[in-house]
Amino acid sequence: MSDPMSGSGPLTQKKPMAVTVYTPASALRDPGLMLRSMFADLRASRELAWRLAQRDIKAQYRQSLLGYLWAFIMPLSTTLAWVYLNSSGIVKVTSTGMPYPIYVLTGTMLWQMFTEALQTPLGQLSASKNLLAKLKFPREALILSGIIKWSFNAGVKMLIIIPALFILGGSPDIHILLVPIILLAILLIGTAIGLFIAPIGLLYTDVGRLIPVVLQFAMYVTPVVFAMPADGFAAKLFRINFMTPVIVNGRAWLVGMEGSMLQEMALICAAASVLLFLGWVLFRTTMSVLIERMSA
Amino acid sequence: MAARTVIEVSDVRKRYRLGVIDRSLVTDELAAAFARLRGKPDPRGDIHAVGGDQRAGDQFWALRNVSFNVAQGEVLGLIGRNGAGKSTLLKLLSRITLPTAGRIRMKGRVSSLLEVGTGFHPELTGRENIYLNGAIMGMRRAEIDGLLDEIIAFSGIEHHIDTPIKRYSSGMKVRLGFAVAAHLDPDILVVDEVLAVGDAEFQRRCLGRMRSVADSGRTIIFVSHNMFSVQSLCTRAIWLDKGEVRADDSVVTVVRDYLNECSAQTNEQVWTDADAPGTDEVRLMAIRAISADAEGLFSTTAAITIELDLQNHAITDFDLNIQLIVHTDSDIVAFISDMTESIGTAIWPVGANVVRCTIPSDLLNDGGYRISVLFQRKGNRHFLVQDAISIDVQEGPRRGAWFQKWQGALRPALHWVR
Repeated sequence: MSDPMSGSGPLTQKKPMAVTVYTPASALRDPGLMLRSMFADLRASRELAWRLAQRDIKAQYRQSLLGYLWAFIMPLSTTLAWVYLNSSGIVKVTSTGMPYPIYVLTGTMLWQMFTEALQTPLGQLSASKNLLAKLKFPREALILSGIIKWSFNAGVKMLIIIPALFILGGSPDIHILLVPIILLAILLIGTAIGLFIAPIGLLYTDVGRLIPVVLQFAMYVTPVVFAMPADGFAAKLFRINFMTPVIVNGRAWLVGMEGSMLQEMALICAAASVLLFLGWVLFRTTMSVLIERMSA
Repeated sequence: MAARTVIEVSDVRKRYRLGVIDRSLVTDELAAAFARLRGKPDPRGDIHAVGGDQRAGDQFWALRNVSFNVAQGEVLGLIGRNGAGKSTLLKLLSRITLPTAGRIRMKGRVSSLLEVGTGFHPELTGRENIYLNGAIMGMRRAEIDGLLDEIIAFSGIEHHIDTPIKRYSSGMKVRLGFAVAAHLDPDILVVDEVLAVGDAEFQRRCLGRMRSVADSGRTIIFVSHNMFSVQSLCTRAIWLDKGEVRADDSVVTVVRDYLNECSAQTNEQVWTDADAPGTDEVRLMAIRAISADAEGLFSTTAAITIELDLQNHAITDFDLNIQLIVHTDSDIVAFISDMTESIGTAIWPVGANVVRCTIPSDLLNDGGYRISVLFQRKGNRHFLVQDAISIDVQEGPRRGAWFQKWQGALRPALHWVR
């Protein structure tokens, strides 16, 4: 056994000890202090977030045969299904302004990224229930590591979709450099909503099951597999849908076209940023109560 | 050196709500949240309305009015029976949950070890898991880099360090987990019963490591059921009983009193109408253990009858079940016996009733047992009389040549054939 005075560092070399006080009083009563501790925790959680993301990514690909291809299988199968439905005349999609396979592939790919981003916070927290009940660590690390994993998977998808676009007869150009903006927008909106869903989903497991159902419906009022309807009730739904501008622009930039609805997109991102911050506050204030309910 | 106070626990209470969460409406939750925000008491219940009972309505007070201070360098043991509030207090000290009322003030970096190997991933190698587990417990990468060799050596699994830990035995995982935890460098270390795992040699090393941490001036709070390790490690002990501090003194005094109470023989307990445990429907008036032995001695070779006197006030349906829950001295559930399993359901006449349950001879081991009585209505817990009586079973006439203590919660006489 090592000498306690040399082994792991004597007490004397420490800076003055930090004092922690905890009472049941809500953190919201001192917004300044809360804000400082939020960003301090965010900074402190970076390293752990990396570790956790690394663990999950390694484990995910170590166990699977097809590895990185999995990121691509879901959108590909959706694409094939819709190309079949369209070409056989079962469903007639109005003119999309580009080869239909490209339209569906880009749409489903971007939409899948959105649904993943939205489900990440709840998924991260439910998978870490034991960790949360056993140790105190900056809870932000779980959200952050979810974001890192999402970014990694999004990167893999991008690496696969670009050659796929060429194969399908598309002609991506310099606009593709703007796609990261779209990815950021998807991550921002998805995480913001996800942070609001997470506390509820942790308490009531049926919420977690409800999300895919709602998202399935939402996909059909977003220009993912259908073109934007020109008029009628459906057109209204497409227009008030906040994901419409993001998907439309993402697809345009992927296939080398000019963007549209840019102002709308900027506005939606600004709103999502505010929502993200509020979601973060909600996450922090509810976490200790949630852990208690989950484990007690 | 003047002892500096590093932990200050003042009037801490912790309430849990019993039952299932979905009993509450979203609107109730919102009302409670707004009340907390404004610093008002929770409208769902007034925390000051608690009397002597740990349970009030659907609320359970896991901790009540707990106050104590710990000076720097002190090694404090927390003892008490299961459900006394030790785990709750540890969760508060580890900042995993917040107190319902009161205040905890801690000075310095706090590490808590409520479980070893938290966050381990079976697909990753031992080395990868060291980094992961270290990061979860708040160590920096550079810190782990510097300690890596020491950690691996301490765990004693050098040869398998690059093998995925799904191939490890459970003992190896525990050793790896403790090796990481042992190299944390906190000012305050909170340790739950983690030493109960692993072989004797490893336990000895863990205890030694903790002692050296204590010797270097760090503060330790240590929870254990093992009085031997509490006494050998701690200088002071707090005895928690039903959520309250029962005693706070030198470890020798507290452990002695605690053990005395645990072994105090109460073969019979009789209540009056005023203080009998139960509800307006049914109450337990008395419980006694009667030995079949001619001299009334409790021994391994004599059957023991547990007799319950009930007062039925208002139950007119079939729906009453009684369970005896028998714990050993080391807080293991030895067995549970269910009344309706044996005699089925029946209508209970209103008034006094007697129920008997016989524990056959050659079933219990020598040693102490505590018997709790659980009343159930409609399949749910109606009320529980915890540790209603305890019996101290003596060694009966021995067969065979083994004269030391037999291992085991029970010592049934089984039938062998050859």
